[in-house]
Amino acid sequence: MIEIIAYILLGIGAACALIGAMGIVRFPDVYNRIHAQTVVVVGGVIVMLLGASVFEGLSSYTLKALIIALFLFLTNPVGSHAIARAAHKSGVKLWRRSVVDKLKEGKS
Amino acid sequence: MAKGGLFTAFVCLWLAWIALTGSLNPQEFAVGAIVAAFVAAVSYELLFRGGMREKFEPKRWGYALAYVPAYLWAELKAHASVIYLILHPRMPIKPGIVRVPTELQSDFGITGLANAITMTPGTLSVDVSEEESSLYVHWIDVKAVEPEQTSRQIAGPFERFLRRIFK
Repeated sequence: MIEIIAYILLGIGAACALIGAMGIVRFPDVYNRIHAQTVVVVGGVIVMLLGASVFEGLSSYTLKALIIALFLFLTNPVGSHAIARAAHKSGVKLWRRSVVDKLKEGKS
Repeated sequence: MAKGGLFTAFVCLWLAWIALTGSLNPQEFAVGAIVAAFVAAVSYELLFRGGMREKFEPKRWGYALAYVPAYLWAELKAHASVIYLILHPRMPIKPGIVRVPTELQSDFGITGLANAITMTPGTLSVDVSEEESSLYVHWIDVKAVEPEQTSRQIAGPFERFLRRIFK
């Protein structure tokens, strides 16, 4: 039973990582690609780490996997935000079919 | 009060060290204590502002616990919608940067909201404006531009909890 749960989590993680990678290729600009990247990290890596810790049961590996998941969870948004902000400040344009850019309107 | 913050920071850091090394070797404990004491001494003023008593108000911890399932649900929905957008052959995205006003005042609250918004796929906080007390969020599928609507749709699920966790 526990093994089945672990395999399901690992499968979801692998699927999310694959789909997120497809998103990084398909989406048109930096900002949209960061959305796809979030799918890879949260849906892929963190769910896989949870799956691995379910598989392993209660051990020091589980503790480490959970702490790695926690730190990924805390640091990934900071990195994404920094990249997006730097891109916008250095004038990377939004995709040509973007509907609105309130940030630029406000500053100019 | 400040001493309490130092001690709490030390204990948290030491526990993190022990959990990460995953061994019960006394040498690890000793090195961990030294490192944790140093890091706590340098950083406790940043980590713990204000009094210690209000940190342990049960009501705030209750809201923090209730926040977990609400957050996971929002995360699940966001994943489903972005995966749909990726797999859709015509990729019906409608991206744009919108302004999201927030009622949150504290630094930790705004950080938590910005992090939660960035962590859910489909929304990405690009900038924070303190004078307007709002976030600028890149939204992959813009459904509304008016500040009230964006606030309700993007920040709504998180703000209710964060307002009560971080006063």
